[in-house]
Amino acid sequence: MRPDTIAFVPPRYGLGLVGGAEAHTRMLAEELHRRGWAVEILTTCGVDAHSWSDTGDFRPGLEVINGITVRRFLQTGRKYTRKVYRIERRILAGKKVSLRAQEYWIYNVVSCPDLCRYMAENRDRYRAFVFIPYLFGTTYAGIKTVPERSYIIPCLHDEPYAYLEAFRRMMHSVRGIMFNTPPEEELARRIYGPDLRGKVVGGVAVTPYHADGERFRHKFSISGDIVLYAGRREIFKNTPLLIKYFCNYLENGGREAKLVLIGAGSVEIPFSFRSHIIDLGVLSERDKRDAFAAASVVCNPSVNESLSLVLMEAWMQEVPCLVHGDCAVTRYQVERSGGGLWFEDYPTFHEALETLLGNRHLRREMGRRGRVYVESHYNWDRIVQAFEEVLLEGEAAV
Amino acid sequence: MTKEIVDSKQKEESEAIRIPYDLEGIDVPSLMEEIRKRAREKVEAGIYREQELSVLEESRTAGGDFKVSMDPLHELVFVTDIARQYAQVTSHYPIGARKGPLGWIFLVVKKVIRRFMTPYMDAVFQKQREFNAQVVKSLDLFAEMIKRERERNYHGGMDRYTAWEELGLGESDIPGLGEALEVFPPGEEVVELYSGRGEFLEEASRQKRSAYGVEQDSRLVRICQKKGLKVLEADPLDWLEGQEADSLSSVFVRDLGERDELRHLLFLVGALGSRMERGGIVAVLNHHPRSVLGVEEAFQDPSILRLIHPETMAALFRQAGFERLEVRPLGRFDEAKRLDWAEKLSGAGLDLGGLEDTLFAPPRYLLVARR
Repeated sequence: MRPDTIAFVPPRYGLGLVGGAEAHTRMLAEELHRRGWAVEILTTCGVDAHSWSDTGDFRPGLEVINGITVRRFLQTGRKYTRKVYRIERRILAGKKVSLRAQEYWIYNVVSCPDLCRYMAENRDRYRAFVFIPYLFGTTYAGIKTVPERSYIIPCLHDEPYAYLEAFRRMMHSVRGIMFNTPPEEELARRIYGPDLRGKVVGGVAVTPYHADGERFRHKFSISGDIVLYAGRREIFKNTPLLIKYFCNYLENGGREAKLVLIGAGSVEIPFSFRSHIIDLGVLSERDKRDAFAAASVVCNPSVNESLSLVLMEAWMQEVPCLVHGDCAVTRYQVERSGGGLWFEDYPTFHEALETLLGNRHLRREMGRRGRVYVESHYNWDRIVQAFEEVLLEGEAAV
Repeated sequence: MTKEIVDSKQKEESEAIRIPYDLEGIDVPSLMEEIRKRAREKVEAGIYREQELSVLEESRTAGGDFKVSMDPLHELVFVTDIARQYAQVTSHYPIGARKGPLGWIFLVVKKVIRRFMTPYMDAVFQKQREFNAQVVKSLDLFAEMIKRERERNYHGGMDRYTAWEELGLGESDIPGLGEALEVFPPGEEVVELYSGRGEFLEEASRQKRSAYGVEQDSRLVRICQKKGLKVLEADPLDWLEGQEADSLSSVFVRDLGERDELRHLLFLVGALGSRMERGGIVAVLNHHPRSVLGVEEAFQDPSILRLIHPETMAALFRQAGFERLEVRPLGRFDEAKRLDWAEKLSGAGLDLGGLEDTLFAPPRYLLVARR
């Protein structure tokens, strides 16, 4: 009899973790569980997306989160040495790196031999192992361990790591790839070749939610127009660029508005702008939702997105979005939905933000279009159906 | 539709990007083209410049007297983040040496010294780290307490703006504003606390009297500003407590204690007792709980939580140091209104009899308190 348990394998998993892939895994796993699928999570004890140390609250062993069994394993054998750092520098500089060096680097970006051992020993208990995202030792080593049952949700970005030979081989060895958006699929086929197995599944759906923007304003003492940034604050996500552009916007006579930052990670706020840039850190789910409802504009300046849950959450509150024009995925979402604008440099950022903040009617209309787009394109029935189709195609190909 | 609108907030109407009024037909790529064109034009005209943050920061803080006015909660969150960054005291800082033939010797010497010193330094640093961690934790707890307190004070969205502007509830014609204005000596500037939509300030303006409001709800402040009224955006209690003792002469408050928690009423009356000058006048225009129909009308405004009896209000002011107190019932039910109510009540089969005086008692009272 064929086993029917689906194991998701993210590098970290938990309720309070901030990150697109982490939220994606949890939402998809919980939805499948609600629909009666047997779902398990196989992951590490890592908490922090920078240090990946096992020293947080997560312990190895079994845990149940929202009805889903989570098996955690300690990360062993990972060394972030000078050699790893040197290889990473060469990759980022676009220099040639041998396959052996690539693997050495990947195995040291979150590695968990115990997890691989568990998968090797229990491969027959699972129908499929779904790895997410592509750029971690857990995914690379896991796919090498159980290629015949491996599927991947790559969350692929156009970045130097994506072009490594190791990942090209990995993408070709899996049974199926579940893409979040057509631009992501296009990018993958451009880098790894057109013969990849898989299709666009659509990521996750955001169900309508109630939120009270005034409650957020009252609790955090914020008045006036809010430009909201939600997510990890780091160079990789272009948060410093947003701060720089926003400060220049104010300095160049832009409209009175506050940039509110929520999420994990640290960010440097210029002293003289601290009355206009408010860093609230990690918020509870309720506060986060209220923040979306309070926002006039949600800005996602990242160029490394494969789906952008933030856009979905903003549009469900009918808030327009401002995104980076160099990010194929977010720009595609905005262009297709009509739910916002994009910028290519500081002058276009200034004008786009000015246009949005200065036109209430335009904001309302774009927000409405965004909501219509999310509701029609990202619903669970479609996503789960596409997810199952990829599994069936993969199984038929064995 | 060819009609176009430009948001009223646009600073220079001629320069604004024109958005078609018929937004259904809005084309985002065309709008982006216009944004790009405008950005190019402004760059060429040198209207704005893109500067590095360090340059911006330097230009703004040059001279050393740059001040940033921040909300205390935001300031607390900001300084806590800075404290967190400096809380980790360690001896493992990077060691370097000048380039040159002897550079490596200095580097080795420094490393050896640090190796020997580390156990002693770590013993001291350990205590410092523990202390710093406790300080950061205390600051975090303090910020959390403030946020929790603010959250609990939130009325679930039912504030004055929502009740008046969004639901259209509350009084449109407030009786007694003219009478209240008359209690202040001519020529005196009157301050109205919680000025709301500015009905009292409008009355003062009509009578050519000088008055300004203090209001914490920015949306209500904007309404007043659109009417050309002078209003300060601040929490009235914070503003009052920021005034010097014996410095205010004429203060007006409407619906005092009827909306916020009761302790706010006590704090406000206490603060008025110390900030009013000798002989200074506070006038309070409130709903009168004696008028049954007045009470019914008052509670049509869902932001009103309670009514304060005039004798209770007078006692609070007396306790706060006000010596001369006077309560005047205000506002009458005109004949049309009385008939309207009588018809509604008799329709329900009620005989009003001797109850008329209680039912139609004045719906407001004016408390005049002199210090």
